[in-house]
Amino acid sequence: MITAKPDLKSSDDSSPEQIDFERQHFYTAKDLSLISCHSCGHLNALTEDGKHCERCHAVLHIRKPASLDRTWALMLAAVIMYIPANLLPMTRTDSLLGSQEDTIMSGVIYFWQSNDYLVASVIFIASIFVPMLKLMILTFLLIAVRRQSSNKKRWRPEQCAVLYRIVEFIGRWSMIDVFVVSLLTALIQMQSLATISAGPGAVAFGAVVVLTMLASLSFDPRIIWDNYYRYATPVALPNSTSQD
Amino acid sequence: MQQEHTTSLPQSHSSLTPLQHGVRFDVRDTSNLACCEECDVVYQRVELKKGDKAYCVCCGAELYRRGRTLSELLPLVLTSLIFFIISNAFPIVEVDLQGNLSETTLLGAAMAMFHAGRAPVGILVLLTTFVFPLFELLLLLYVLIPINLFKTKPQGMAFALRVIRVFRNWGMIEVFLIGVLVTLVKLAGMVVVIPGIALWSFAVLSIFLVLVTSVKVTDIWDEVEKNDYR
Ligand SMILES: [Zn+2]
Repeated sequence: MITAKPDLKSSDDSSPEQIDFERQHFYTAKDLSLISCHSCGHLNALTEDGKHCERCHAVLHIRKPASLDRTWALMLAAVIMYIPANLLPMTRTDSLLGSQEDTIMSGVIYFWQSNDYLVASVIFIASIFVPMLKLMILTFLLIAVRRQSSNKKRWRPEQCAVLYRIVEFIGRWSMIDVFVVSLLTALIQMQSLATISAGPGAVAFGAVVVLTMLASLSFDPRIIWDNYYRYATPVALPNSTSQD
Repeated sequence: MQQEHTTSLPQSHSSLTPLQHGVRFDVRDTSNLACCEECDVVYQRVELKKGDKAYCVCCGAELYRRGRTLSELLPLVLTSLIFFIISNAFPIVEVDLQGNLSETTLLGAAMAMFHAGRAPVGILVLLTTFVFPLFELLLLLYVLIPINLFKTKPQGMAFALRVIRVFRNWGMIEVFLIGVLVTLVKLAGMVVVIPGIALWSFAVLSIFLVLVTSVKVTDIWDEVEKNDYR
């Protein structure tokens, strides 16, 4: 998609506007030999990875370390846990009428059939749709970044950035059902009449939420832009006065 | 093509422009620069009007904002802490099944998971709805009280702010509130449900936590630096 490769030798004389790119490449901290602290946002002069921020003493990294490997690993672990989370029972209800085990989906179907469309939708969206959407977006981002880095396909980076923001935003909301199960377990303990207890699915489901949150936290969105501009970086830099 | 890219970006409240070719800056004093957390683009800071936010022109992420000051944040944190105590001291909900009463608090719900042999879930509930939010509020108090009253940085402020940033990702009070509401609707057909004081308190707490977390940790750092507290 790049129309012209930058001529690195003459780029010192050309202003960024003259470079023929699909998008303008703004100067990043990395281009300017700066590292922004992930914790306090302070821009430090470039040091090697592992040095500490001069303002808040957090460890500095140019990019999150092993970001893609970690995200892949956590995401695949989440995919694996997603299976028992959906197949194993979340709750077991014992009442005078007998006992019954419910998975997430059977709970959704039960509420849908008893015309409780709102609860059915909330549980379906929070417990089935959101985790699946999160896993699909993360997979897409990882593949997009990989293909951009090898220049095979260049998805629009700002759309990838929006997808990343969606994952960050919806991350925590799939905990709803875990909270519901623990409240039900605490409330419905009327020995002879009825008890509800949490099934093994609740543990697997909690693991899915934690793993997907960790996966999105270890993904570094700056890699999207790094890879997008890898083959199109203008190198005319603003003047640093540090040498004066 | 290029037009399409630029018009799809959110409008910036300020006339923020990325660092241009030829602009001189000093790497020893970068306090007048701001960096986008999501795409790493560097900007020269501009003074914002109160309530305004600066957005990244490259990716659309929020760069920084001029929101609540630290002296406005302190009362919000104190109020949140009061509602946090009420939320945990009283039952969230009471149910009545043919004269059999049963009620639970947040901690009761977490404990129930331990008794049911689902300790990992109990720990998760305990951490995300009790430990992380409580410690975030306490650490904020620890940082804000010396800054507001004595104009000094407390010892270990850097560490406290780093911990707050981590805890913030994992606090889930507002998700818990929706969880309680789903539980209420779920139980409504089976038993008589009586909402408790803590339910209303959780609702108020959620609102206050949104206001508290609208001040980002980086905003706190920027304001501490700007006012040059010792
Ligand atoms: Zn950005």
